[in-house]
Amino acid sequence: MIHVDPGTAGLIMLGAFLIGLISGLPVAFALGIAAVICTLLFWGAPGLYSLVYQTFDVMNSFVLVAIPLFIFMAMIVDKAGIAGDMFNAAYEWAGPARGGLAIGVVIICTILAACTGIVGGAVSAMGIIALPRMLERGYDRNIATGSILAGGTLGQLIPPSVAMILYASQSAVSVGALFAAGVCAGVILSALFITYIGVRSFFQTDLCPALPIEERVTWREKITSFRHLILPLVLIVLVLGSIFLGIATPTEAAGVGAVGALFCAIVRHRLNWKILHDSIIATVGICTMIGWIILGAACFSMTFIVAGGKELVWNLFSIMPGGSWTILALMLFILLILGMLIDAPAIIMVTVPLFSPVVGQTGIDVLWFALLFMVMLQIGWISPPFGESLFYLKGVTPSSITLTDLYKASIPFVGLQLIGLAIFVIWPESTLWLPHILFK
Amino acid sequence: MCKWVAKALNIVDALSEYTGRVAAYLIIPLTFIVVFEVVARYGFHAPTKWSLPLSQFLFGAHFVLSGAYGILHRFHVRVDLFLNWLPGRTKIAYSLLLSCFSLLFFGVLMAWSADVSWTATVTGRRITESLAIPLWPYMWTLPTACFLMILAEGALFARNMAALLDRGTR
Repeated sequence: MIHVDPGTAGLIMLGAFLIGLISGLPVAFALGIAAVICTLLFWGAPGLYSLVYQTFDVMNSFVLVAIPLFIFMAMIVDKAGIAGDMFNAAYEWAGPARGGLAIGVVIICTILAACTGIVGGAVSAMGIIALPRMLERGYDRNIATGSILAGGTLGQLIPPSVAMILYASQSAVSVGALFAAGVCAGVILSALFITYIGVRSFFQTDLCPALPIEERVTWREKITSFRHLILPLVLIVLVLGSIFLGIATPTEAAGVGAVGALFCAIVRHRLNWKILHDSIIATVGICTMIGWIILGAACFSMTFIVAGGKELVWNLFSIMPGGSWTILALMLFILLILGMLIDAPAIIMVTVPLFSPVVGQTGIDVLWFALLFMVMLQIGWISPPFGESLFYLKGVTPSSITLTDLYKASIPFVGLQLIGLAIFVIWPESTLWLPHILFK
Repeated sequence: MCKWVAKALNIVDALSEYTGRVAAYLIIPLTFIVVFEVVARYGFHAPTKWSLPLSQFLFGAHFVLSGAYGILHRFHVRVDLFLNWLPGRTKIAYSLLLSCFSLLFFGVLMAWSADVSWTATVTGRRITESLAIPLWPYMWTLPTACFLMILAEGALFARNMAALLDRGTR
């Protein structure tokens, strides 16, 4: 056991975690082992009991139960091919307009984001279904891949969002209020993406050509394909409506949503044992990954806080000149960097317990901060070089599209997200009006 | 690698695979219980006492027990900044070192959580005063999961070690 002052102890912990992270250990275990080693250093073996209690605490959390249920729902929507049906509808409706398919991708991603709480699913689904058809039609590569990348990140912001549930579990912000703010922010960003694609394809006529006349379908067929959108929309209204109206907790809504997704799949004659089994197995893979990160990060942040990390962070922020705006800017910058490097769950578990007391004391609106936090993580998903969506998409694209192509494609959309961020910062009511109406 | 070691490692792999699949199917009772509670509460105005703790237990067991499955299929995300740049043998040796750290984490978590779970077992700790369901079957999922993860990570370690030695003698 060594005795060090709180500031140094915090720095040692951060160092241990960073070394573990860069070393290539799985993030979950890097957090856990940093907690174990530092606990042994500062308090000796008896201190390890508190790590175990912390772990059991996570396993008993009520809010977090919503996460596997929302992921299960997402996996059913994904495996039952609901995304594919929706893209067919978009193809018929939006194809005749220049840029229509890319705009359709963004709209479908928005709807998918409201059915699922994660980012990866929509990106891979659209990469497989929509990208080849856009490229066949002569769409510009950057617009085609960029629309998928940008649309996919909406899963983080539009509820139900796993990241928001985690955030709420670590702070005093209510899941429902954060969900409501996320709807507004998500719709604004979605509108920005659509406007950008629309304007560019309107002025650059050969950028995203319209479908040739002979491939367009009749109104009758369009209306038939439109019904593919009805069930997912009902599912969304059911899940989000019950949360917003305060009828159900997010966990209950998630359970009902999972059953609703199964029902959608049955109605579409898409449910069989294989799809159900695949959804169950895919769910556990994501849940164990997220769950162990939460466990490792919970151990880490508890040890970090007991070792004096809170004081360290507080001192760091209080020596900043310029008051609350500088603090906000610095926090958002830290989140942007972290977002490029590590997973959203790990970032939330480590930074929220440290940031939220500082935010509370500077008088920044906690809900507004939570929303900006989510937007920063969303930007991290597609920022080169390590944004994870880039790798998800690379995993399903033809080899002619390189990672560098995806970097180029993502940059304008990262710019649009930054414009969105600026809107949310300058005009907080743009996103907070809905939670203020619903949860006052 | 001698034959029986290879065989033992395959058994460990199968163990990780099947415990993961069993854990995966816990999502079904979890969904069922949550929906049952919704129906009972809003449909019949008869909320249950047991659904909440039971759903929390299933949630915990679901992701904890599938940890070894995650190791087997490499689901646990890592930052591959320079691991892939290392030349072949160095990379294997380095992976061995990383495994040691993971094993240490699982080992500590297993030993200390087993101690806590053992205390809960002998004192007969229950969920709450009013609900007489014992807590120990649930608590033992954590040390069990850690044990499975030690086996799974140990299998990776053994294979890497064999690869290293094999290359060395050639």
